[in-house]
Amino acid sequence: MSDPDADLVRRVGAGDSGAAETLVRKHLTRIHALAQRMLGDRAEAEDVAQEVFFRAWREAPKWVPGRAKFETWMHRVALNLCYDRLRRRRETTDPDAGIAMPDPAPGADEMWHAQQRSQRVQSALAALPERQRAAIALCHFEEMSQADAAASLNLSVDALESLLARGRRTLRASLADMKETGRGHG
Amino acid sequence: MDRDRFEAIVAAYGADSRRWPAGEREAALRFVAGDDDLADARALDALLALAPSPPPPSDLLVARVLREAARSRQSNLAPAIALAACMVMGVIVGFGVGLRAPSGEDVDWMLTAAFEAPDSDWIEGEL
Repeated sequence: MSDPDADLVRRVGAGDSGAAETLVRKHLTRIHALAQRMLGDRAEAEDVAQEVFFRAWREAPKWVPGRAKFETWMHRVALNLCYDRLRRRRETTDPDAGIAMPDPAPGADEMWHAQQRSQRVQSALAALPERQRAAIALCHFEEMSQADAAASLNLSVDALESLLARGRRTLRASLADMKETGRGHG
Repeated sequence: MDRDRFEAIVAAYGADSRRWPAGEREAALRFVAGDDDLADARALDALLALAPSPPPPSDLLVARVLREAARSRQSNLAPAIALAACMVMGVIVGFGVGLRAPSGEDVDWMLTAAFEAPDSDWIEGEL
């Protein structure tokens, strides 16, 4: 397996501070975005991204190239940390919290209207089952390759496609009224 | 590639062929006969484009992550530094013990005193 980060990770493991900074510049934004899309909370997303890199620093000196791409390993760590946090949330809060739909009543102000539509989409994404949300975050928003997304989710590509199709079907149903509204406005 | 596979690709990845599997993209595009084939998928893609973009990571986060990288490097070096310190201490202690060790003449005297018979003068004096 070819890993474009293999040399970078080796240098990080050998204590090269420049390589560590390059790895951060290259991957922190995507890891942070993934956590933000999974958790919908900036502070929690930063905590997850920080923990992923803390673990990366510990892993780099003993990383064996060829087993997996370091990037997919980092995404998998990020997703597992997100799943843990979402599980803790479910145990301590109302399961419907955070996915309530805002009032869809049309407003006079166009900006308010756009914010409401954006919030609706975000809420529909947040209401998806975790793994469907993760699959859509990786493939649709991060535009990760199928193989890398499947590896990050620890799934086969077939299982990934099934998750994606179910997720998109659910989104289409929950946003059906917006589509009509969008066409009416479009 | 058949029609079912094309529909499965669109159902999973949406209307934008950039997101389709690279190895199947060209073949799948041949199944796109008109806009109707992708209309539903394109409508959902347009809605997803309304989702707010995550904010970029803060400078503070970047600084924290890099600080931990430096700390991790130091902790990785600690065992090597400890080993090197032990080796240096071993050399110093060994050299010090060597300076205080008895010389060859001293050893001869000690062996003589331990294993040879006492002088006759010494014995007579005692008697």
